[in-house]
Amino acid sequence: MRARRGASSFEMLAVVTLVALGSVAAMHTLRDSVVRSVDAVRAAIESLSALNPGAFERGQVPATPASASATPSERAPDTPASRGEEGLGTGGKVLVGLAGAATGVAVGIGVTAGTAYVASLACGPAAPVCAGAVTLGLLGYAGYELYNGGFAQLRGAFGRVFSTQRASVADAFTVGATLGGIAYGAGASFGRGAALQRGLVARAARAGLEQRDAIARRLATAQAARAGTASQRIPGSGDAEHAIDELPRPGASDDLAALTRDPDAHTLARHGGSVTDEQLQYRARTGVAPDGSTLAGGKIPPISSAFNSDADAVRALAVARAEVQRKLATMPAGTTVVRIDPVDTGSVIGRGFRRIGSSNPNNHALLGPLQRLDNLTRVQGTFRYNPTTGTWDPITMFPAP
Amino acid sequence: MTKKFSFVHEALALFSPENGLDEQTAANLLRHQLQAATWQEGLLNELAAMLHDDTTDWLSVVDNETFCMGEFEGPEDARAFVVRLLGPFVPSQFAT
Repeated sequence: MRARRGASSFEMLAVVTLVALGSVAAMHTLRDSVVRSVDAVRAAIESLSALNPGAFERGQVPATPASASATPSERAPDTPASRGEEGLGTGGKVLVGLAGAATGVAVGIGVTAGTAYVASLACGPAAPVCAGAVTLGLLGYAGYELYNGGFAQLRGAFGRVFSTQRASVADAFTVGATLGGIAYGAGASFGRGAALQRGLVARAARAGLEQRDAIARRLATAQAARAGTASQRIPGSGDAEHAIDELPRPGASDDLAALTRDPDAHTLARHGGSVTDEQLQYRARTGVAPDGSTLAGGKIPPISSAFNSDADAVRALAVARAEVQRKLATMPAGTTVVRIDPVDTGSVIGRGFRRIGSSNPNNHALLGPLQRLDNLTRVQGTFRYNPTTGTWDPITMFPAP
Repeated sequence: MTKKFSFVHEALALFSPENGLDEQTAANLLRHQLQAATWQEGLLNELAAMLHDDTTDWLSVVDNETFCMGEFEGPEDARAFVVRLLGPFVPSQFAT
């Protein structure tokens, strides 16, 4: 849900960014790059030929001379004019323009995905704000470039390309990249293109958020290791590295921190991403949870489940909190503890095992084989209001059928 | 589908196996909830009304579509279970 809401903001920001980039970055950065690239290749070939004319026939590869990277201003006076500035006919204009257009589209895709990924990685839930800051920065840069001669240069390039005049490679590339960037921005705003754009942004944002979680986890692990904090896992529950992963994460995002914030919270300890299938089966048979706790009277819960990852728990938390708000409307004033029945999250978040038979572990006659439950999409839990943060923090939260 | 809110139902649910809380945590949460006067009065009044109502279906109070608190031999057994579980959380004059 969070990714979808973010996607729409990202989409609009990315489209604006692309239009700006298509008209300015393509004009200056790409134009200069094309000129330099064409010149460098030509200089390299000429230098190699001058040093050893027969080298290529004999299969030798001579060292690159320093002059190969010389800028146009550093070339000897008798050096021919830059090929990047040489004239193109109609066919050349079309070919170079198409290459520029393809580059413009590629830049558009890259900027879209890159902005979503980096903004999510750096800013987490505030990613749309960060993406907006990036867009404003790019627009400012665009305005600066246009004001400082860029607009005249762009107008000149369009004039030469769309006329009978001969245009340079840089002119044609600039025009192609500009039109490609604008076409991408327009295509990404409507119909099927908009849907593809949303998918691209959602995937990139999700990847950024997951990377952010992974980094937060590593930092928390390192911090816990430095503090010499002991694992909270019970013996036989998995390797030590995973056990450290289950510790509270003081440097993690707010949502991740919320999972362990309440003094009675046990979401991650009993249902977190590193709880193993063996632990779930053990609880479903004996009633003993991964953290060693039991229910009243030693009863066995009907379902023993865990999230596939801590990131899945964080995603489920947003849906669960929305359900808390919905249920709260039906409860009396002053309510500080809310229990929610299973609510669908819209994606697979975990798996579990269903006990068959009695909740009494001593009633062996009624105990049957466990039923494995994969692809659980619903979440259930109990939440308490935190007056300090103003949030509803989970006491327990787990995947449910 | 809208169900009428029930203090007793919500209080019992905290202790249900379906909710997955250990007894100490569930008790802490109910005590926390009962710090609100609306909850204290609401739970007391509703429970008192149920105990004085001969038509109360005690088996469905402890075994319903939301949770199953365990195995009970009959309505009296279920009624005694509810009093035993929730009695300590309400004024002593009631828990008899």
